[in-house]
Amino acid sequence: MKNTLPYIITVVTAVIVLICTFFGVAPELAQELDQWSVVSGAVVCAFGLVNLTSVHMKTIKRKGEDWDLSIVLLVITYGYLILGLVKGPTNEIYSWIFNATAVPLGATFYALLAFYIVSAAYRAFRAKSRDAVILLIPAMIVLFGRAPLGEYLFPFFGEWTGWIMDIPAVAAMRAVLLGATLGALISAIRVLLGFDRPYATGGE
Amino acid sequence: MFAEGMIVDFLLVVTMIIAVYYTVERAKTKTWKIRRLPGLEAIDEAVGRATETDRMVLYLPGFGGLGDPQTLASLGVLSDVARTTARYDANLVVAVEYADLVPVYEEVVRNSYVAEGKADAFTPEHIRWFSDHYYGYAVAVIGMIYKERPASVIMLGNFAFDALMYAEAGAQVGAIQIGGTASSTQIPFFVAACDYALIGEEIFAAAAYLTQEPNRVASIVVEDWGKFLVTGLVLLGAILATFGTADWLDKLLSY
Repeated sequence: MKNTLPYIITVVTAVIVLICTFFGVAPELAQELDQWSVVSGAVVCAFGLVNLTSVHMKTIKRKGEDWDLSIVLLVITYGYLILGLVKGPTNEIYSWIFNATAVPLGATFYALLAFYIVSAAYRAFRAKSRDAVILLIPAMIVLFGRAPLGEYLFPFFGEWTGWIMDIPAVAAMRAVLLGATLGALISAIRVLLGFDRPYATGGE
Repeated sequence: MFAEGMIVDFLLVVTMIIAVYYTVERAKTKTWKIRRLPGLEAIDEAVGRATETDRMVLYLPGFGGLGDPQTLASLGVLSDVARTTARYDANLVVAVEYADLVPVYEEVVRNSYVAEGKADAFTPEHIRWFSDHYYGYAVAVIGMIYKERPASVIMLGNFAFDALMYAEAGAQVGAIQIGGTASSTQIPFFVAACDYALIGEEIFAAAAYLTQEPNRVASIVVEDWGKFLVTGLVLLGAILATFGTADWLDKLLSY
């Protein structure tokens, strides 16, 4: 049952969505199933909370490394959860806490990407092998071709950059995309036919 | 009868379903080989290093849900990685982005430990969930990499801009890194920062390659047939377009 029921649900849902898509019938039914998927995803969020609590409670009990931070994390998590449950998700304080912490922290984190790119570029572009040199030459052309100063110093790099970005880069990207799309399609068909059952790994 | 522009799509999907079913049946009597994928052969090395240094193997399955084929492919690889860590008594940590996936990953890892006769070695702490919020998850994973200094980081699945951050953080702590994704914009980052990279459709072949199950390998054969078909259509389209007579093909494919 643990294996069969999820498989039946998967097949029935997939067949309904495929019929709705290919034959253009009852589009609202496909949308409804999509909504169910979103709602069920929200409900099982509790599993994550149980896992988070379990991991950090053990750290606190054992007085493991940074156990005090685990207390802070659990207090904030449950405090915010209780606030949301009591006051509702549209409450001003609830929204303010999110907008004043998660949003700027997210933006700050995204900004860090620039430093990681520089660090990775330094490692990738060290001309230590033939492959690295092949990577380095077009990268330098594109870098100079895209930067205003680079194009001023080497005017022809702009045209070369256009060619690199439009021809070899697009060809490689499309090849990767085609292969990945076919791989994704086959994976989906395997789940539909029941050859792969990732949703019921525990057996019957 | 058909929705507009869906006839060719319908025929393609039905043909692929028949082809997958046919090859899986045929795999009972015929075997195929998959070309060597160094990234997957390095898994033993990555786990071995973790055992020697008594540090963990960190597995990142990306941010896709169960509806994402890359996540399904990643689950197949995780199963093999977990078996290897169980065999070598290495510490495996899987950082999961979505709470609803926690039980799925627990089951996959638990089953692998059971299959290796190490059921007692499995603990729920092998699976760690931090946040469903994208940035929260990424910050937690990067923090964990710097703090716990994993010996190996295996990243397989659907990644976005965070791919480079995990890979760079892993490189900075000296971890052996295997990265793979079908997200075309993130592949260069894995190539730049990882020791081994799986590119595009290679991650879908990974589970078949690791397990060598005829049933899985058979599906890779259908993928190759699909590539031959698409390549043929691209060549035909290029030739017809050169002579200015590609309109009929364009019209045919738009049905």
